[in-house]
Amino acid sequence: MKPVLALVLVTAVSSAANVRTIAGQLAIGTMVYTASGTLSEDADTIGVSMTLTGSDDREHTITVLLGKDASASLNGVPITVPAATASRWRGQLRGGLEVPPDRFECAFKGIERVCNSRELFELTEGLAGRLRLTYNGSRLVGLRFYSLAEFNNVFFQNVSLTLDFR
Amino acid sequence: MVGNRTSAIGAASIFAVAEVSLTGTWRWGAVALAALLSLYPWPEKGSVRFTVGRGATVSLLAGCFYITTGPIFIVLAALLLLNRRRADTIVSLSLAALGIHLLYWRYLSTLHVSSSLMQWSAAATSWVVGSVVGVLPEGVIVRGQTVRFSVVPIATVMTPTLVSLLAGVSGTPGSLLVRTILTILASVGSGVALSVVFELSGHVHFFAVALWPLVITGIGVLAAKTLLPLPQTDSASHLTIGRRWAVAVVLLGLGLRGGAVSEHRPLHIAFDEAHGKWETVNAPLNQVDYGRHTMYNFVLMRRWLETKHRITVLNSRWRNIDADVLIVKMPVEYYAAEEKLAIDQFVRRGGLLLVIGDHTNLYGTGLIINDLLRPYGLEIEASATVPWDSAHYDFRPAWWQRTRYLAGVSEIQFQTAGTIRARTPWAIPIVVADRVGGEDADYSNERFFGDLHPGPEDRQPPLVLAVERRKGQGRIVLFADSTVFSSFSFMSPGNVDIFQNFIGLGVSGRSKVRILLIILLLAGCLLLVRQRLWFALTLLPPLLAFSAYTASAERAPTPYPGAWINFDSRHSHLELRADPRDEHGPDYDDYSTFYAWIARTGMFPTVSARAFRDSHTPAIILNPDKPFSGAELDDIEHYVKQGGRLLVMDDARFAARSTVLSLLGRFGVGLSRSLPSSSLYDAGPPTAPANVFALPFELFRNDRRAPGRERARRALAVDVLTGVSPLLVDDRGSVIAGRKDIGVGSVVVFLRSTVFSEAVMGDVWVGSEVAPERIQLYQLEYDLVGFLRGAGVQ
Repeated sequence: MKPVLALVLVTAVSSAANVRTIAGQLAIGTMVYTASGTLSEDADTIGVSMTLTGSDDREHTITVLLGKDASASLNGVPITVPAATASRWRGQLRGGLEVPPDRFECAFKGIERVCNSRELFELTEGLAGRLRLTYNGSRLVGLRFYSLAEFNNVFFQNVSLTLDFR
Repeated sequence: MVGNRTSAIGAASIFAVAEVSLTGTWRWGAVALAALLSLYPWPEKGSVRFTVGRGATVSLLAGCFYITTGPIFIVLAALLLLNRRRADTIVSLSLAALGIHLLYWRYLSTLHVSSSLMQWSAAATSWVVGSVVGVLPEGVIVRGQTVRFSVVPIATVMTPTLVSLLAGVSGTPGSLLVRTILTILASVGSGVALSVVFELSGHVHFFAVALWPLVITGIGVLAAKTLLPLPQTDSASHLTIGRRWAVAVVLLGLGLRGGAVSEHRPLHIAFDEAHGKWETVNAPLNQVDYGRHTMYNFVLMRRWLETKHRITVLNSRWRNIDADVLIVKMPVEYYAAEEKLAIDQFVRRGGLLLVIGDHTNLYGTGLIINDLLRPYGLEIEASATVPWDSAHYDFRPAWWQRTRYLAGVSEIQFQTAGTIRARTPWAIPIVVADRVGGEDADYSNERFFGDLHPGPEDRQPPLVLAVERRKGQGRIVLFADSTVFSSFSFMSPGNVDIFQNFIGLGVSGRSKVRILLIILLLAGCLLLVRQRLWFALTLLPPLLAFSAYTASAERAPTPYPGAWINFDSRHSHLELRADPRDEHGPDYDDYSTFYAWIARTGMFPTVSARAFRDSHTPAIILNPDKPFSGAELDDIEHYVKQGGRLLVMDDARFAARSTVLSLLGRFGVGLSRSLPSSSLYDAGPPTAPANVFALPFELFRNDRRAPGRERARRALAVDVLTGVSPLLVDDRGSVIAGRKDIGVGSVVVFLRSTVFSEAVMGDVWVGSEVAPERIQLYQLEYDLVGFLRGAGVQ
């Protein structure tokens, strides 16, 4: 069996949903996982499902559903998503990460706007690195995150994350 | 009798005058020892007598054959055969063997010629050993494994001794010459076989320890004297060890050591930046720029030198050198002929050429250094030192490894050095390493390292890591590990001291009058002994031991002026291992980053056993785990009252071993224990990150979980400072740092020392862009250092 690491965010998609594919890669030290999945959204609900395939013959899944209620799971284990967090997630999945002008430097490449963090960006607690966001209009279509030093994160290894939403 | 005593006292007096007048060093203890020995009522006919025979002589000759340079003993054997009536040569030779063994380990080990001769001998004799299937220039191949000949000379000492005792002594028929040859061959053959078998069976380096040959040879001498049916000799062969011998040892030892005086005047020091920017002296070292380039340089060295000397940076090629010292470090461009000529003239005029290289011909620097130093017979090998029994090689010189350049140096933390060879007998090793192997470079790997594991295919000790060569009026010093002097480790204990000795001793003058006096002294000692050359050889071991002892008693170099911070070594528990290979991982006892970052404030950290001697120099006691005596507490209190600034750092993590309470008690500072409302919970599911795109990482991190069912309340004890003016509190409001003024000085106590450990603070490489919270932590250190400088804690 090929190793799979999955981030699954969508389980309920209405017929009117706009569905995009997710593709990318996660690296923690020498371990590399290939990401694939879908991001779907309609007027009321946003869902994402993603599968990450690693080189260790293991699969990992993540699901998130942001509707009237918010729910998420990691490898099938449900996690609590507070309302405030759900609201932030909804905004991030619809319009991408907030890009404060003083912390990001943006430039157009064709029709896409590429924003690079000027300094270290803390993706989450204990995980700081450089972040590049690519937008098509107001939609987030690409994310690149990579640490600059192995001691700058909780894994004590260099880490990187690449996600494309098409 | 009276005449002997008079001559001894006379010699001691001459030496005392020479020492004092030429070196300015008063070695009263040594002079007094010489005088006492001269006055001691030694028996007129000698206090020790040895009576042994030719057979034991042959045995020990063979036994010693591979201890040192074999050919030396071939010569000695020939001389013995020509002079075999003198049976006392057995003692002379055995003592000489020990002396030459020391000489080899201490002085001759760097020489190509000695190594080549031993290899030649081993190669010739290994032919008789059936298990050897191939002979290479550098070793033999057995069962597919290369075993270097360098394991053989020391390793064979045991078997040759035993075999030769059996074969050479017990009445083997034939002439003495035939028996001698057979004995040596049998010894070498069995020795090679033994060492190969040991190496291949996993007992790598079992014999490659300096002490073994001494022990085995000593046993051999005793065995020969007491157990074997040796022929008796006439009384004329008795060896007399008496007053003259003792005095001569002392005087010769002092003569050998005499004149090692460091230069204290301000010098003009030039850095060569024209042949490459490795270990540059022109990089930032401040509180703004971070990353490898801010630490992997010689900026701190330059800054430290500037407190005393005048510094010039040579950014372009030269035709002449106007300086006292030229520092060449990791050059990557070859030196032109006129530059080499200028360097040669510079050295011959009395300049010090200090060349700093590194392992495995890193980035071609070894080739360029060797091209530069070829006229002086020195070269750095394309190898890397691999410690036998740890990840790193911490050089702690034993008595026999002491040299004048190691005065005050108790330890050097090598960071993977190269090794040095010489093609001239005038090369004087400065650092002779044991317990490391020399592994050949592998150019297919990063930084050209091999597998970095010791094995029989490596060069075996003694390995020379630093060497001095005198030329004209000047000197060349070659050191084979540039990282030792990089900014992140330059101030580590021992590193700055040996560098200071390089500078101070490397430019010290060489008085022709003093050299003449020493020659006269040596000649006088030989006349004093008034016996044969064999007898004079017995002076070697005690002479070298005495010489090494006096070297180990040399004073530590005087610290340069500058803003220093003393880390108290008598009570503190800290490790300083900034490791470029990142092999040890983060550690709560490692404060190498905290230590190195002090240099970013413009101050110089140092580890001192006498941290409270000068109240003008601030001090830090870090995680104390050794008890404070009453006298020590008195000293510390006196230091503070006189105006000293003391930072005491400790952490509840080390409560079981901490001795901080008695120290704080002296200043009326206490620790109270509080139990804040902190609960324990069952580990729940992963927590939801604030950023949805961080979810993939949550799959793999095991450092946090949402709290589940509460299992216990008030389950945390927190130490809180009392009796101080609060400076810092934790998130519960507990005082964890405070200040107390005492007399005209003050003490700051900080109870979260582990935030400055490598586990929390990170290593010195950190990356050029540092997380904001880490910058905050750095700033906290700078503020604490600011207190030590006299500013308030922000």
